[in-house]
Amino acid sequence: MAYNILIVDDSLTVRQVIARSLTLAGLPIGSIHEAANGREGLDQLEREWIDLVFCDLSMPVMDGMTMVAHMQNDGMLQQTPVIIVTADGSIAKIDELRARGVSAYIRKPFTPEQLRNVVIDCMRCDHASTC
Amino acid sequence: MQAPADCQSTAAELLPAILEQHAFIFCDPIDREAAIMAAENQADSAVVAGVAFHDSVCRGRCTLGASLSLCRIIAGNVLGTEAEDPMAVAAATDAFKEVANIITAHLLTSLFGDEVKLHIAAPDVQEIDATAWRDSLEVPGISCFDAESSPVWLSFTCTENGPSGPPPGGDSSG
Repeated sequence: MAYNILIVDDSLTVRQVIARSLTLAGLPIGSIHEAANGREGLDQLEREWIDLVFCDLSMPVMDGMTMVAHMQNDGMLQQTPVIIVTADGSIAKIDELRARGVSAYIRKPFTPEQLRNVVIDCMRCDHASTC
Repeated sequence: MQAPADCQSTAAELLPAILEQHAFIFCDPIDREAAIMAAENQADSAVVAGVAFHDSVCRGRCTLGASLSLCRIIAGNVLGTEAEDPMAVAAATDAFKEVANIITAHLLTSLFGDEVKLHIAAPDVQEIDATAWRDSLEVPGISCFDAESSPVWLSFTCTENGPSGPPPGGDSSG
């Protein structure tokens, strides 16, 4: 199965790095969609079939915390795993996001290996439906 | 919550570590005169990127400046290409903005701990010409560094909120 990915980050550079890391990691990627803020991310989720979301926290227009809250309210978080990719090291924020249903958290700067391992864990959990 | 008095020294330790980890660039602290001399020799335009933060107790801002040529090197390294590659040239400002974002977030964790929930704004960025770049190195309170023979500066400010609390309309970003 190939996974359709959505990358939500206001930095084009970060979106490119995540996309490149996923491709180089040899993961089964179908299509990669991009959004520059939470609002655009929600629009993409309504239009496209997305299997996994990477989401930054600090973004203009709509931040990652608000986007996750919308996904939770719409029931999307139960179907679509979200991995938070942020430089923010606040445990309080991460705990809140996990309580909402976020699957994983990667702190910037990250290595391609870290990204790959988190994705594999998420996919394993998704298949097993026990995480 | 109060910012420790040595926040500039914490920043001075973090910036080289983040630049090395994120962009494979080694940098060292230098004095202001050396930074000004390097900027005058380069006569390059520059990028200034800043990130504001606040909570109910304090507010502040972390700002970084770097020459445009260094920003292109950062973009090239992060994207796995050469600094002269059109992709790196186009991404230079954005790549440096992300460096400011990462350094600010790590700095806040180092200074205040990871239990604190600060509102961190999305980074803002502007390009400045060679004259403004040279003048920016005269601003008091900055820490200067050398990276790839090009100067970088960092400024960190944090003040307690007045009795009215955080600034009105402060960002709500997480």
